[in-house]
Amino acid sequence: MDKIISIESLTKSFGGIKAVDDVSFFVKKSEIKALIGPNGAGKTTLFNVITKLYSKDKGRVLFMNKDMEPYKPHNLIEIGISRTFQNIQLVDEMDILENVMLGCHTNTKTNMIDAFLHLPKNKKEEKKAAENALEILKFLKIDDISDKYPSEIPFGYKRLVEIARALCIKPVMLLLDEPAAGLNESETNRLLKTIFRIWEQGVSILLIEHDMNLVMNCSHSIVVMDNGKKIAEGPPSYIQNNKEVLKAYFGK
Amino acid sequence: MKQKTFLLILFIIIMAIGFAVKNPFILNMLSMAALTVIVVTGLNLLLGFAGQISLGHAGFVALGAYISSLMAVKLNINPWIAILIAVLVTSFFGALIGYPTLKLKSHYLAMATLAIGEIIHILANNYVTLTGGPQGFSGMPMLSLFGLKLDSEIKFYLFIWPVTFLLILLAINLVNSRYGRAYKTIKSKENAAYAFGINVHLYKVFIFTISVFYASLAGALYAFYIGFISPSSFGLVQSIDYIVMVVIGGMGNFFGIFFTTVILSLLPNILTSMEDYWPIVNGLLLIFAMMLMPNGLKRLFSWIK
Repeated sequence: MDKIISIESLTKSFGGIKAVDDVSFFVKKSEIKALIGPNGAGKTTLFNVITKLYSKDKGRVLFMNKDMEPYKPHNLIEIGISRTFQNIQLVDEMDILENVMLGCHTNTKTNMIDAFLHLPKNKKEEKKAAENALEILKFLKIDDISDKYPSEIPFGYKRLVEIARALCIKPVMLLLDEPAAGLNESETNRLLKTIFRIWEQGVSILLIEHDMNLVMNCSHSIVVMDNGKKIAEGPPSYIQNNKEVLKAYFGK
Repeated sequence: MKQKTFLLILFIIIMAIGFAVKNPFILNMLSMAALTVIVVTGLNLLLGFAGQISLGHAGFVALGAYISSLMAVKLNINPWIAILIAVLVTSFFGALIGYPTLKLKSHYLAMATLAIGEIIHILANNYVTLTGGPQGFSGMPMLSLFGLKLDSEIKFYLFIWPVTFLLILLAINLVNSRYGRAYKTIKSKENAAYAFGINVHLYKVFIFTISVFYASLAGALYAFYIGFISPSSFGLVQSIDYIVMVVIGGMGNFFGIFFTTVILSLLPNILTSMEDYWPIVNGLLLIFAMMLMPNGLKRLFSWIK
């Protein structure tokens, strides 16, 4: 069994509140894992600890059996971990193609001198990055908006652009932070298909999501959190009938 | 129209003005404007693109001016080598200063850079034995290029403007590369910058250093052109002027900033009788610019891609 990422007894508190309390689970190779739970359950905190935006108190995170302790937030992409954001993080000043090209930043080997003098190497690398970005946009079937600006496209497209940007480096592991938040039904269906197509490329996916329809339809396994603790883990059919989960969501 | 095409047209016009205008007073004013354009172009990289403020840029202009002048006069070093050393030393100093201060955000960064600018200003004012204090410092030799002395207004004009345009071209190149994308992301979506492999702090220090490079180069060339420097040319007022130029020009827009800088540098010379009221006019201009056109002249130049 190949573990891509494994979270071991992770704990993170803010003051007296344990936002993440001794949580352990792992994501297998080529698996779509969902992380669900009521608001305030600690899902986003967990995400931020994994992506190094927060430091952890206890426990450890292993990526392909290597402790992630020494990595800084900007190192994650180099080892193949890519992410999207719940609140869209596209840059308004850049068009969609440029926004996606940001995802190729670490793939582009231009140094400052090449850039300042616009040497042939810079031209070549820029062209390569643009082609790469366009290819990803085509893969997600949104290449028709490549020259638009983020303010000119519908919300559902912005989510897809975020995903496109995260795919530029051909990640091993993709972290999706509430990708369906704010989407309507047809957009959610499109997202579902997109997630499957990415998974078919061999990418392991961990997603936080509130949309139960999406979660039940796309994930192989689900981790449920409540009050910072993991309360259940298993395939969708198991989670749907789990008493603990029902209690967390609906009360008794 | 492409940025570089427009830059070329602008360059030809500026050169034509140089050949057409015979009045040394006007040429002098335009050369001084060019020096300011260099500083503001550098500041634009920092403020307009990377979104990091510096309220102490006049201090770095001063360092470039004083270090090069002192070396040329007191140590008898060739002016060009003195300029080169001054610019490198100041840039290195900028990197050293930038490393801790760029960990600060928004107004804290503004305070820190303000303090640095003021410290340099106070040093220039009070270290009389070295800098001449408020009396100023002079005696710099004339610059010469390939044996040709830059001893007239027109000669300096024909030297400084190509240099200015070259520096703008380099800045435009940088902004149109992957670094430009990185800095735009750092400016508005810092978390996304981290997620896509950008070492945000290091990138900030880089752009700060480049910005200081531009400022110190302008300072050093200024010192040798005028042949006299005094602390009053490098105070907080000048630092704020530079920021006003970037903001009114439309943060990040090279051409808006170019025209704003040239016009704002020429105005005080034209309105010499109002000299005492200039800071007020400048302040009002900034307030009205912010109220009426929060994006500065960006819109006006949006047709240049």
